[in-house]
Amino acid sequence: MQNYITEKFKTNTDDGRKKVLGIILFLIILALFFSFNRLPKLDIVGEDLTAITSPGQQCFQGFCIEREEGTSFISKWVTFSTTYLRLVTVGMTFAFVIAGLSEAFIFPPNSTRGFESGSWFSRTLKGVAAGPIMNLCSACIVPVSSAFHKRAGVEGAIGMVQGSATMNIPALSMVFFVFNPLLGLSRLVLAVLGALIIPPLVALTVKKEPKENELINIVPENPILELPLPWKIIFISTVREWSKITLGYLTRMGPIMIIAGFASGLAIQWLNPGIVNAYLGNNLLGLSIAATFGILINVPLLFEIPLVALLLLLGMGTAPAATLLFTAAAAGPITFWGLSGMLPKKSIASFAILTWAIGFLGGLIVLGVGSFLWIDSKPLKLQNNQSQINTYSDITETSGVVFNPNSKLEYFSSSGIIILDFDNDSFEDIYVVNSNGSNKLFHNNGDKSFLDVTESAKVSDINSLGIGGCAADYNNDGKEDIFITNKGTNSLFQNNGNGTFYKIDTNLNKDTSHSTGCAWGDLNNDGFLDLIYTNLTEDITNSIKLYLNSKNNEFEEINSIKKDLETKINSNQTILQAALIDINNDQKLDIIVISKNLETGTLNQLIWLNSTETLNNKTFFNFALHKELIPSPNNNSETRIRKMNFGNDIFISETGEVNLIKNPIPTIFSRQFKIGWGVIVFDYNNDGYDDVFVSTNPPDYNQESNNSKQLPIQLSINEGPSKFSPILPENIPLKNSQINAVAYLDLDLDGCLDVIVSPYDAPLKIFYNSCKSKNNWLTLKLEGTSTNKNGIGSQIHIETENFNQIKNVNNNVGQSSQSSAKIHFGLGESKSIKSLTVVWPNGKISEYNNIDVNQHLSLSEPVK
Amino acid sequence: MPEWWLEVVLPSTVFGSMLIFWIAIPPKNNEKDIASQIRAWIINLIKK
Repeated sequence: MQNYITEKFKTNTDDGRKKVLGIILFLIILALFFSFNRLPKLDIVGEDLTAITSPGQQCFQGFCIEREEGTSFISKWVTFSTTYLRLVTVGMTFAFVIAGLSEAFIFPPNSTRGFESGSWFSRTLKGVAAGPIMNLCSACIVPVSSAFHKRAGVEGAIGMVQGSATMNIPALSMVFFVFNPLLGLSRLVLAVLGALIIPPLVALTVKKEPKENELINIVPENPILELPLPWKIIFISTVREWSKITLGYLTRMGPIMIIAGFASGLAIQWLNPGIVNAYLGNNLLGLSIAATFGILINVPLLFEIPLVALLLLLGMGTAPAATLLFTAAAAGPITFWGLSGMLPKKSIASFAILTWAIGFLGGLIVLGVGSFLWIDSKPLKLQNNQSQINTYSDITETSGVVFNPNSKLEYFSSSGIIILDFDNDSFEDIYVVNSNGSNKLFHNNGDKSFLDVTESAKVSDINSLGIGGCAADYNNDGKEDIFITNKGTNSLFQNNGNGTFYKIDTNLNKDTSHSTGCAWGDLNNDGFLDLIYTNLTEDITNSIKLYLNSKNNEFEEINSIKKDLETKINSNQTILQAALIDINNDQKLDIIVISKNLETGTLNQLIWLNSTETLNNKTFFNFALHKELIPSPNNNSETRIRKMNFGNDIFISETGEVNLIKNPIPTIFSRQFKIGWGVIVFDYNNDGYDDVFVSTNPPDYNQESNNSKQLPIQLSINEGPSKFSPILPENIPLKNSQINAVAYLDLDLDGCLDVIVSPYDAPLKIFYNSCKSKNNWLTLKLEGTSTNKNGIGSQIHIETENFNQIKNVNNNVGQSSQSSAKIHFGLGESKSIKSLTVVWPNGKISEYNNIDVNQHLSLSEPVK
Repeated sequence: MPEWWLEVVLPSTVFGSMLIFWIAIPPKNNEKDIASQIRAWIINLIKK
């Protein structure tokens, strides 16, 4: 064995020993490179593909189709270029190190084996085989191929470049996953053809036979007689040589890599749908431009795939896509510049021309033959149908809603939004609370326009510093009333039913604290809605106020949870918001509170389970502190989101298990919400999966969230269990705003939910849902008879041919706000609802079968 | 840790180490290059 190794690697010579050491080092570095860079990189490419194929927002390396307003050309260019450089930095480092290693250890300058060997075909195959092992982009592999060139000639060097960039296994497998078979096959065939044809043809342009005396000169006079140096001496001296050569590559190629990276970034900035449609169509011009564009840009390894996917979405034809998929990977300006160090200019030109020609030819074949074979196939498998995607547009200006709170209070004192139908005309209206002037009531005209009726309705509450509120029919007279939380005494407006309200005096007005959020719910199931609200106060026992509705406009304070507040809750907690939800499906509303720890800054949820009992007409309120949930970053549950509530996000599974997702939003492009203030969970595209709309905290809220890339609102689309894709409303106008209040409603009853956001310091905005999706839906409005009029606390089960859904009737949303009281179900492609069951708060059950989809349904509680 | 730390730390460490090796390890056959001049300069500085 030892003899074999000695014979095979010539370890009885210095060069043989260097080679063995070089191979060992190479294998170690290669393993580290794959573990820490290549494999994680597949995730980055996957993220780019997810972003590109998500509706509304398509981005590649920071280049987005929907350009963000206010971002300068320079900023976009720099973002793209630095993203590119970041992605290739580790690869380039690996390449420089391996190039130095090859020259110093494996193919040392005076090596007896340091000249070309084998036939042109053998040398080509060596390069094509060695390239994919390196797994580097065409520019990154150049230093290694430069070292390899000494052993395998021009054919081997070019073969290595082509093989590494176009024939690596991840790229070849991913193209079949992302694109249709036509594009996948073309990429495979062009990669093989390019790797086998281009290297020998380029070599022909520089080929010269070595003269006899050159061969004699490079053979040492007496190689065998010299004793080899010790391994240690060889290793140390060659490490110095390795370092020197590697640093030489860095200084020669590093700067040009940066320049070329910025040049590629500049070229990309002119891409837009108009240019792509005009110049990259399925014709010869399109093929020529795609081939030229491909060799004028350098992309990191694998990133030609999301780039082509993006261009396909912009309107590029399938044939130029096939061309670009090959040429963008195969070569680029940095590749050519790097190769110019070892090859004459004419061979660089022939390399570029041959790459261009192979790419063009491939596109031509796809254009001529492919269209017959896959005539109905979409080029991009992951492509969403853009024409049927719901998008949001800002209609504030045309809606007639003018509201600019310009709050004077602290940033968490949002201008709460309350959605209610105060005149029972089925079109829900908007009430907005103001801490710096009159609150506003906007009547919905039903045609996407609103009328300010604040004065006539007498609900301005102008002398109060308003924070938030909640509306419900607390006195069961069939008309929704409004409770407003103020800094100072709170206000309860009773709905007179004739378009006016009356501010009534109750013991709810006695509290002069700084109240924040509130919620209505029937805690004791007596048919009348009770109230919970929160106070921003240092006295923790006064931070949650619970009032029982004693009827006749009287409210009795319940102190059941005060003891827990005093003894079990850390005094550093500030209570921000409360909600009433039946967590454990026992037909009793439980209490969920969001609190902030002033020391650590973390947000927590506190849950009290309701075990209220009524004996001999006397109610015993028992609330046991069930759980203090500690935020956990990930929840891998396969269960769909069923309920979600304010602040950070409560997740309750189908089985009733309470979990918490701190951030259900994918962190693509670092848009991460550290704290969500307004969180609404609703099915924006009616596909049957609830989506998440989050408004975020002010950038200066704490250091952790001080992220310049952070945007104030984001909609994350639920594409199935545990998979969310982020999109932004079109023409987002609120980049620098601080938005605490969010609510949804269907303002024109088209079956798609619209969104209202109320920034802390900027005008309110209405985002209208385009409702382009063909998905079906159902909206329900409940009317209780023996239970509360709004049916709050009821649970609705529906069964369709595709799936079952459960939703609870509650109207607590986010910070100080309240969304539509109607229950909205997205039904996807379901054509009818097999069964619909309402479990009323008092346990009564109503069952309906074969319900038509796409309708607004009112259901009353059966009398018996 | 910022998301770009690897792209900064890894090349800096690798190329920084190589620069140190290049300067610290004496060349074979007393050949002269920039690194050996820097090495000689540092040795002189220490001797003084």
